[in-house]
Amino acid sequence: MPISTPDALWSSRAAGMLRPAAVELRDVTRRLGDKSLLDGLNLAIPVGARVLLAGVDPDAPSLLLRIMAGLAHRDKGSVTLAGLRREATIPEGWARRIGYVGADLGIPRWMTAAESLDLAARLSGIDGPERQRQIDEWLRRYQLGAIRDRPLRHAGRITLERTALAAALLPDPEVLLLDEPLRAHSPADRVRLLSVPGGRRTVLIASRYPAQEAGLVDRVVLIRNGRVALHAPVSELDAQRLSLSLRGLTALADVASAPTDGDGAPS
Amino acid sequence: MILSTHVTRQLWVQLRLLPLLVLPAIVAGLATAVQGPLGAEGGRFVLGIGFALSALLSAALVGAAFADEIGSGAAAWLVVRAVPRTALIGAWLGIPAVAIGAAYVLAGILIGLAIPASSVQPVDPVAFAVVVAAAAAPAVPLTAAALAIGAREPARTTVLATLGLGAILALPASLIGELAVHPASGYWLVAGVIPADRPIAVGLQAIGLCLAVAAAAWVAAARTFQRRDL
Repeated sequence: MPISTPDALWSSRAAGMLRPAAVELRDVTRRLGDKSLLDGLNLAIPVGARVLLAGVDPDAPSLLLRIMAGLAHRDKGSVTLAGLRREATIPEGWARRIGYVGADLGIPRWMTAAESLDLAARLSGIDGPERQRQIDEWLRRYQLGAIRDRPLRHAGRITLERTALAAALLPDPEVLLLDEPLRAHSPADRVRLLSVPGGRRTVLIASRYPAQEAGLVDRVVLIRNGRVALHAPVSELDAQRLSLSLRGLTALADVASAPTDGDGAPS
Repeated sequence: MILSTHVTRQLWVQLRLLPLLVLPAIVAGLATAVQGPLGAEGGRFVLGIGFALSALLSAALVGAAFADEIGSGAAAWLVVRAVPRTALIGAWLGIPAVAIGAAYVLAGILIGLAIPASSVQPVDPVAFAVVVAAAAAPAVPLTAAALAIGAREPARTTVLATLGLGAILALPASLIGELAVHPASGYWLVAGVIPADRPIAVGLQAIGLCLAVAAAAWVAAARTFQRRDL
């Protein structure tokens, strides 16, 4: 039976004190051929955290996000996002609680920017004048007015990325999953576009280039041998004078190889 | 409704809806032009073969469009927005099936107009409608089979595999064509190979078989799509 947590509870002071998990992964396992990309991975991310997912195997973080989004299958384990457990069926309210932007973007190019946002809003159950207000707001915020009524096949990669992000953010999701996001943008633009409002929103970014996510994340997770080898605040990298890079994360994981608690969080 | 509109537009923009709508009518027109009045046996035979080929081509087009939908990430874009995979693949069968049905209504009207008024045997409108429906029906299970292939293979492989499947199925269908009713009996009725003494009974049985096979093929397609990583 999926557990649904009302928005009011997430934003309450009591919830902040309890630090409920926005993301809870238990024993997530996935093999691809002979390779075990995820091997009994456990992870709990608190509400409001902005987390970088990096991996010694660069495919592992991306696969983990796609498993969370329901796009890839897991061999075993459980995934709970924003209090909703995704099994074979999709729990009610999923579309408004979870946002995902993949590296492929996936928006049909024959749609206009406004149409793609309209479809995203309809599928999320946003109707009436609120839908149009939201579409106008996100077109304005991400400077998509010029392509508003033109098919996206005429648009460049930058516009496509902005449209995909706007479509993911329009339903105001509690958990936002970003797989190699906004690669066509400059670092400054990436920080500006991804610094979206919403204090209770939890953001997970899978990246092959951790250094590019500086300023966007406050926690880092390193996946090594299919498990969480490191789950720490970014400040710990600074304390150890390590850079936000795969080498830095690996070094910190080696330093902090002291026992961790069951969910992979620092003890 | 949102999904139906999306799939219809996707097929239209990819220029794959138009062939579904006009192929049977083109076949009917060509058969008339090449073989003369459709009351003649030769014309009917060409028409039966033409309908079978157009069903195969339609199925391959839909299967390829679905494979493109998955390959481009558009299916994933919908699935992360809580669209059930079964609903998505259901729309990908339902919309083409409606389009194919409409196409055969148009083709049936053309055929009806092409039958000369001086035809030896008067045309029973009910039997005529059943025979045309029986000729349309095999396109549905073929499309479902193409979706099952498209759910796991890229577009080009889907087209080749669907055409190959059609060629393989044509062999047993032609062997038992006159002996027993089977899903492709509609083509035999149109071609005049099966004696037309009871076209309604044979036609309805063939339609029923087509729907049963279509249901089984759609379940296989849905299961394949469920297991696929997007």
